Amino acid sequence: MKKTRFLLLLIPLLFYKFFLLQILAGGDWHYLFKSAASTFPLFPSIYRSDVELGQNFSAFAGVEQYFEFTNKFFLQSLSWIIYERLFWFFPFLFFSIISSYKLTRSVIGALIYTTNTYILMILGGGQMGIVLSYAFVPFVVDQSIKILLLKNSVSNNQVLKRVLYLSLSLGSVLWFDLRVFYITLIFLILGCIYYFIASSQKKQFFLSKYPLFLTSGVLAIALNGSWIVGLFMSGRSAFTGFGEEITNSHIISFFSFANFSDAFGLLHANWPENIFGKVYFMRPEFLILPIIAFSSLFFVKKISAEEKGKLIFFSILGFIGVFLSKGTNPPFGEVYSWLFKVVPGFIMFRDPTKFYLLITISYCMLIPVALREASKAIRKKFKLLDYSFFAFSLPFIIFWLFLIRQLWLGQLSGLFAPKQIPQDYVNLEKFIIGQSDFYRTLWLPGRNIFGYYSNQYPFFNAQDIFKTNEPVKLAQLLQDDKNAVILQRYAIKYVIVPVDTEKAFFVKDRNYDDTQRQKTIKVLDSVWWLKRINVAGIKNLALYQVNSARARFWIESINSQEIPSQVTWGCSSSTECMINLKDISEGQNLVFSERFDPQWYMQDGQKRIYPQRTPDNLNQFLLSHSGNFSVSLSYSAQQFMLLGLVISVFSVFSIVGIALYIQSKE
Amino acid sequence: MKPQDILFFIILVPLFFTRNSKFFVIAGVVSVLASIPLFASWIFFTAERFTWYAAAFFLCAVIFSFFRVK
Repeated sequence: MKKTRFLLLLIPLLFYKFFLLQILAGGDWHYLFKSAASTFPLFPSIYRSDVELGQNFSAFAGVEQYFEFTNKFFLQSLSWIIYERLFWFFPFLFFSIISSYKLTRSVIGALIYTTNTYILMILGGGQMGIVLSYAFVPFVVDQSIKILLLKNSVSNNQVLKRVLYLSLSLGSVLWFDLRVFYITLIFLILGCIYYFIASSQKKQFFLSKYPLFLTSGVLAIALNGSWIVGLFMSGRSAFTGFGEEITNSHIISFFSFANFSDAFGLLHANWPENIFGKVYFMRPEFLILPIIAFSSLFFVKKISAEEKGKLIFFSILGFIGVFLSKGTNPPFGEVYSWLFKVVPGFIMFRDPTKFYLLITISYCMLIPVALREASKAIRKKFKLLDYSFFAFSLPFIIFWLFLIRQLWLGQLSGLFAPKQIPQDYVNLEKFIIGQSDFYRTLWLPGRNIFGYYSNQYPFFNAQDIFKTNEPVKLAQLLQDDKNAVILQRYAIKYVIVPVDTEKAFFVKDRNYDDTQRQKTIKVLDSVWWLKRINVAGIKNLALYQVNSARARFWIESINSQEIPSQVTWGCSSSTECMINLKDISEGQNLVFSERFDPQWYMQDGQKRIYPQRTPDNLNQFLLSHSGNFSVSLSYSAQQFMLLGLVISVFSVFSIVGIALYIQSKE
Repeated sequence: MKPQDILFFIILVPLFFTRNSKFFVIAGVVSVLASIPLFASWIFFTAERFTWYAAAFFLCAVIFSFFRVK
């Protein structure tokens, strides 16, 4: 086993593009300008104003804080190319390889875990939170199995060490993605149930193991206090940005892309092109994987009792993963629909392919066992010298490399395809930040990965406002004057038609179609309240200024007429603003062009005023007296962030400190 | 019920009487192997069902192995 450890180096070599000095961006992983990073807060913020009308981001877990913190402090001195590798890609490679090798004790196990089609598609799609959370899961699996198999004779220090390691790894999984954490919890619950049923002393098993897992869970949550406290105190506000399309049960049929055979073969339905909605015929070569994995059951009698238990458990885990990953597809697809409606938290899984994680864990455990036991059997039967590596492991590695050949042949798209930032986008950044006032941009139909945005200059995707992604139709909608009012009230100053470098917006039959872009621009040219502007250095982007766009704050009369008045304001962060008001009459309203959220409040002297919702979902505060005065605007859940941060920092230092102390004593 | 399903049950029921997990594993492997050329020939309906049967055989093998170990 140790002789072949050097083969672990093969895995980072497959990701050779991470070692080239070129921008990697695609899918959900967008390029970030340094000037945008400089607007991130010094202190963790529960609210972000850089996207649409702003949103409480606590439900997005700690990964947002990690993103803002690392960008704020490191992107100023590093280039984006170095930053994204140092803080995202290399950590994924490092922790994924180390954790899966530690779990499986096998190079093949690490290879399967780090380079299967599921994680490659997630990585290619730029879902970096899921990717980093995924990298820590094998640590959780390893520690939890060790805890489940702990004997009563083990010292208290050993038990404590396992609990602390489990809490650290579970906390890391939770930090980066809530959905991966939820699936990890499913694994933990299944493991506990399995070993409980298998145990001959059930009561003792329960009484000895339950407190350990409970302690680990509590510590993992404490480690994530910096965002969990804010999430808890935010209440429903934490989910205001989530549309009905995310929670509607009909959507899960649409997102059930993988068939049973795809999941069974550990083949992601969108492999290899990763085009949303485009699925492929089953590639039968992937069905060799379940044959190898479940042929490990041939060797159940030949392995130790502990190994038997693990083999059977991980086989069951694999079946559950396959069943859930196919979503509402047959057989028994109704079960997934039922689970989605009934089980708390299942609402996060409109995309069932997240459950591929269970299949991956299962196969990375089973396949090395099958290969190892097969080679032992052959060695024993034919009394061969130890060339078993060449008989089974090496052919499997070659076969696996064939399955994922698109990775090392450089044929994968999205984040795997290095890019260069077009000069138009560089000049657009300079143009946008050259204006000191706050405003939003509307990208029609959507923002390109190089499109500039920041807390000072948030962006909108037109397809998200108007619920269609057909570019020409979106442009035609802007011919309606009612939509002019929407854009003006949302403080949208510019409408931008992007240069579609990713070929994501102007497509026909999944191929780029430039005539759509030209038609879109032609329609926008005819909109009377949009003025096409030419900016030095911008040749291909189409930029339009919106007539009479509002500012972030304005005054309205009782009958919702805007009143030209003296409103000056400044925001020290996404959650604190000071507004100076002049010539105000009692009964007027201060309108705040931000998504309605009852967590906002206006402090007027001793009085605290909460907003009312406008018909277009903005915040409106009643001004109860006249004259000239100042008010402050705050987001109430933000005050709990300090408490959450203290809990997190204290937990990290305590757990790490105690674990190191125990380690040093041993 | 499709003819493939009937064939599946004809094989499954006797295997239950053997109570030998290895036979279930062999049946599962044969099912998957049978599905491979069907997928390659675009006979998707039957190929897909063969993978279901394979999973069912493997699951039975797991269950029998579990109770034997217990």
